[in-house]
Amino acid sequence: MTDSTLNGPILIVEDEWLIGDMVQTMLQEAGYDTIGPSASVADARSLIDEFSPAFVVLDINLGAEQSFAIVDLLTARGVGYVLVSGYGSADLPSAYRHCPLVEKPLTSDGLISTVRRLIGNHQRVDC
Amino acid sequence: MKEIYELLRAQMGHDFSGYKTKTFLRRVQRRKQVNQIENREDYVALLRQDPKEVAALFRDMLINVTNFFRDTEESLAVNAVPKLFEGRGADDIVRVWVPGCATGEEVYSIAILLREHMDTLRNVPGVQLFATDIDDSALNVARAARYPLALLDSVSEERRKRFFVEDGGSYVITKNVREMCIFSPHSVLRDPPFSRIDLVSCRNLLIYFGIEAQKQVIPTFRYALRPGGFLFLGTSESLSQFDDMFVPLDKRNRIFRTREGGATPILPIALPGHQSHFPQAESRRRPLPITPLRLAVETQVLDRHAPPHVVATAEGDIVYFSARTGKYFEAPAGVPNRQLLAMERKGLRLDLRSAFRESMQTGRSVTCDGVEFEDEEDRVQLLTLKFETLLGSGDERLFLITFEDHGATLSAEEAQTRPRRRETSGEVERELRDTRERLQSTIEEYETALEELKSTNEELISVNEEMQSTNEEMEASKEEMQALNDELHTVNTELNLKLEALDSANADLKNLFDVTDMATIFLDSSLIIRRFTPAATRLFKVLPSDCGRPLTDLASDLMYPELFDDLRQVLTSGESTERQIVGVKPDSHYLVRTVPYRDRRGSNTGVVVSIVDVSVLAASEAHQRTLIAELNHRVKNMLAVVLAIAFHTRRAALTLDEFYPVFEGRMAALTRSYELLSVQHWKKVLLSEIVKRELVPFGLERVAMDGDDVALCPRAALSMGMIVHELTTNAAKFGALSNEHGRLALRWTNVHERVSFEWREIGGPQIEIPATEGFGMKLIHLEADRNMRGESKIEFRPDGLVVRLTFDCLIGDTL
Repeated sequence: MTDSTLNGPILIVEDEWLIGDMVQTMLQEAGYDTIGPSASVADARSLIDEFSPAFVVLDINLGAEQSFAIVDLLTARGVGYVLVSGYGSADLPSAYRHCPLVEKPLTSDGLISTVRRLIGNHQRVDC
Repeated sequence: MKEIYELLRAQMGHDFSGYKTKTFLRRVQRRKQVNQIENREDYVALLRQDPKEVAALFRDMLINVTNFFRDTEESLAVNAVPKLFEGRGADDIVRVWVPGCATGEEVYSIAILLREHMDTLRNVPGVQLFATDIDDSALNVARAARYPLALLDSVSEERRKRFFVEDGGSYVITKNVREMCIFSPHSVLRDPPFSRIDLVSCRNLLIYFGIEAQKQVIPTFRYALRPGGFLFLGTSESLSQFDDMFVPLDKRNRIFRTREGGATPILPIALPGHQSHFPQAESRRRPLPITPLRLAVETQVLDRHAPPHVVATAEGDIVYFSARTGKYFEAPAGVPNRQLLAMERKGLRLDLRSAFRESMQTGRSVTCDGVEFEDEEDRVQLLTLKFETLLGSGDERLFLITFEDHGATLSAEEAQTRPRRRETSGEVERELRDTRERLQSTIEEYETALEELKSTNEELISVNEEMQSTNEEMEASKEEMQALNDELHTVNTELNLKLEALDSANADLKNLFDVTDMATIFLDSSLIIRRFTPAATRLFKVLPSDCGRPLTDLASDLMYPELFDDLRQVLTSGESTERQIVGVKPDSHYLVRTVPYRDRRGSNTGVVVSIVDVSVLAASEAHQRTLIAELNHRVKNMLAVVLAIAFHTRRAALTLDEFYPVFEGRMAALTRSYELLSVQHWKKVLLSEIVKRELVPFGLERVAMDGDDVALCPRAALSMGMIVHELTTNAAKFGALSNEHGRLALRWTNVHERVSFEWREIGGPQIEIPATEGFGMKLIHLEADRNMRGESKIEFRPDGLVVRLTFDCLIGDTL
């Protein structure tokens, strides 16, 4: 059940492989193509450049680093994304408080419905 | 001279006309020399112009040479003083008058004599010495009772010690002597005299008086003295013709005593140039201890029916005439005298003289009958003379001489003369009556004056009493002042003590300020700095010299623009405020509390600002907030991992019964790792501990461990926990721990935080290489690979599974 409206894979950026694998499985089971999971900013960049993902699900904390640089990059490129984090929006730096966020722990329904809504919104904005 | 008298009387109120002219002129002469004036008229002119000269002349007139204890006083002490006190009890008062006392030496001499005698008595009567003089300045000297040593030459050493107190070079009369003496201005000539006096001491005053003045003064003294009183005169003074009033007690030392009954205690009228003389009969008006009626009767009987009689002294001087003696006596030519024999009419003299002598010698009564004498008309009269000693006449022998006419057969010629005579005596009697009436009125006036005088005297005494009581009051006041002074001393001492207490309290306060290290500033109601603690200097640019300046003048390290609004608010409302303020320095936080300063009555008189540095507190609060957020994050991550494990476990399981033990085992492993971490406060956990915990249920005797202890960071510890769990589960299911004799050989090394770990199973059942990689193998691979930056190698050897891992023991990041 591939979502034909999405012209590209969904990139997963998540350093915890248990969660990354779970997200990947959830998205694939929902019919999305996925790449990743990518566990670092640098890895994520190269995947973005290589595969031009249509959407990104990304964890904020990647080991010792944080993924806001990727958010900036995606914003600049007009790529939709959703942040996944144990933090609430209020705990984020003020520049990223408005960013779409799914809080951990993830549930399948929570993640998929959010991703769907965001992809829809994003494409409507594009059109 | 009269003019000078007038001037003196007009200005000074004293009439010196009675003074000896020679003395007076000598004094005037002296003043003229002093003023270098030749002419008497010029001097009078000067006196008119210059009141000071009148005063100077007055003072010169009163030159007195006085001294303590002239020789004659001792005689007074022996002869008179004991008699003064005779028969006097404690309620009586001995009264002494010292007229012309000048500067008081004589007064005090007599007072000392009296005091000496009083000390020998058991019942001591009161003694008053009235000392008078017309010279106020002399009286002031006398009142002060202070004399230079030079004047005390004749005072014996004993008396000097006893009655004088040395005070700054001069000598002061002791109080017990001084209190006996009352000084007052008084003129013997002008003012009414004192009365009921026991002793008059008037020494060297009469010598200044002329005869007329003396004639006035001596009767005055006689009047003042009570019967038996003493008169004490100066050695060069005499009673002149008044010796009938006084009996000499010690002639050489001029001590006299009043003659009893003889002289008239009648006050002489003070008129210059006139000596008063009153008929003796009037003397009977003096109060006597008989009723007036009886007196009147006796007087009349004496006058009308008693034979004419006279009283004479042993010397033959007549001291008393009865009525109707004129017939027998005649004033002789020449100087008036009262010699009995000189006054006798012719014809009586011989008989009188012989009878007198006989009576004197025998001391008995002598009667001469049939004495003839011729009266004025040369008519012969027979009479009887009787001489007898007068009884009860005291010290002096007096003689009563009576004249009794006999027969008195009158001839024709006598019959003719008698009416004429009666007419004459009627005239005389009328005249006498008139005179008596005048005298009566005069006496009444005098008595009035005397009463006034007495009351004045009493007033004087009472004034004296008042002065004494005033003095006592002043003494009391002085004592009060003393007490007050003492109290003040006490209060001062207390004040000093309080001051010391205040000092130490102040020092304590200062030390407290220094120690508290809390910035505190005390402001008054105008926000002027009153006091501050040393810590305040770190926040405000304030120096000790800034006390008295408004706080608004000072810069501070606080970012607190509302400070002054808050201070005013506190002043007006009286309610304190508290604010947390950020400082200028980074990460500095202050708690600023502004509290009203209340004085002891609770009114609001200023503001206290206290500033506490809460930077540390603020930092720890921030840290705490971070920690809570972090904890939140970790819990969520953990749950995410749990969910992910559940997710993966569910996908690998075929049934729920197959899922649950696997999932439970993984959760248990996870829990054990967390337990270890929490025991170690999330720091480092030993690799051997992780392994042992997992393998304990299977018996550690089957496990051989070889390797130095390696400490793992939390991340690595958790990953190792999961990996060892998966390996143990696998071994228990398929490998060395699935039979009875299988063993495990674990070995690890640590080289520069890179750990090499080998899991080798020995003696287990034959194993086969699985067709597909299960989740357990995937977990081992990925945990080592992704989470531990390591590598994993799994060998399915026939004799048992061998797993080799290499990883970083310190990954160093958060979970």
